[in-house]
Amino acid sequence: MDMPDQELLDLYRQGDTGAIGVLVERHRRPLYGFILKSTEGRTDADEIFQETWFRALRRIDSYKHQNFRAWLMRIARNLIIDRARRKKPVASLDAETEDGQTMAESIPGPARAPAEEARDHELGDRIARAVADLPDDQREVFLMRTQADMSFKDVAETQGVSVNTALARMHYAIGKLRAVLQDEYEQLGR
Amino acid sequence: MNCQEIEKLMLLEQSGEGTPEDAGTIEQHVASCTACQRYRDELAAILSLAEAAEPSDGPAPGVIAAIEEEAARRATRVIRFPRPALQWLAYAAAAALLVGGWLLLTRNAERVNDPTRMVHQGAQPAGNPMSSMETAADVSVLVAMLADETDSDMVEDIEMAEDREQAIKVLARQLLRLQGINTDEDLLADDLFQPDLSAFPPTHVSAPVTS
Ligand SMILES: [Zn+2]
Repeated sequence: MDMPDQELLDLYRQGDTGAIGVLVERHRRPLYGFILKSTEGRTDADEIFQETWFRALRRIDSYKHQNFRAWLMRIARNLIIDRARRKKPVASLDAETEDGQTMAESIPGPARAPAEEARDHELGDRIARAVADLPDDQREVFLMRTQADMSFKDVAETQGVSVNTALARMHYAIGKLRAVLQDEYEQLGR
Repeated sequence: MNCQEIEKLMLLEQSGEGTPEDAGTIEQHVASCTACQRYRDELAAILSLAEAAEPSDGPAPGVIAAIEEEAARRATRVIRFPRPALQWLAYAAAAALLVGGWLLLTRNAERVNDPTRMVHQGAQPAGNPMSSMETAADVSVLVAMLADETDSDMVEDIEMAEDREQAIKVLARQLLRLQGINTDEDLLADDLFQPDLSAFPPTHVSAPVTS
């Protein structure tokens, strides 16, 4: 089960198609989390997730990266950017959908014990909306770090920038999210 | 070190990319800086909120099934070759690319520590047919047309390439594959694939720089 990605890829190249299933499952949550938070709901996210893997399968012969997840993220990121360019104007996560919800609200949150964590839930939503409002470059770094647990080195490689730039983007993002957090704490009289 | 630098060290520490020395630096600073103590607490709060928001399910089961089907289909795919009449064109294009592509590469080489490459750096060959093709992607479209094999995968691979050098390798590999030549990685390994620049007269590459 803990076979490295590279070995699973080799197995697939040798004809073991089941190896892909293991890889899909291994990277499913971080990849889907990143895509879902970068797009407009599950229909879009499902499409991009599928297309990411289709493209990865097409290019698997020329794949040489050390970090397979970072490679998948890079493909997903290109697809997300392409889609955003094609859809104009880009709907923000705060734009209201037909049923009057914002996109951010319509994305199902994780299951939690409701009563005692109601405040955290609200705070989580506020943070999620603030993340959606971040500039693209900063949001990408934030999501690659928090959803995919990618290193700054891999994030930087994916964005085609230096580690320092990726780090600075994360620092800006955290700065903005801290403001949301502090605002919330003040309202709670902390 | 100022507070901002300490904050960035904290980000690196959190991603597992910090060094033990960094950890020491942070501890030392935080011991006497309440602002950075607060940064550390709030960073932890933000990250745990963000990580808790990770979706536990999705995509739809049909998506996973479609990916697995595609994987199985690709594994058994038979490579198609272009029509025989066009094969020689693809050969010629491949040869032109292997030459022209390397010229493009060396022209734009940034490895200043390699004297062979330095000589040609910044050169702008006039009248060279390759000079009108600014990127490897342009070339790939042309070649795909020549080979009657407008394979969009090929163009995408070029676009995905890390850099120009890799783009040209991918392209060369694709071209060889179109000819039915098996291109295992060893064939295109870096050391085997280095261009012999002595084969090209300097005037062909650069008049101003070599004089
Ligand atoms: Zn400080």
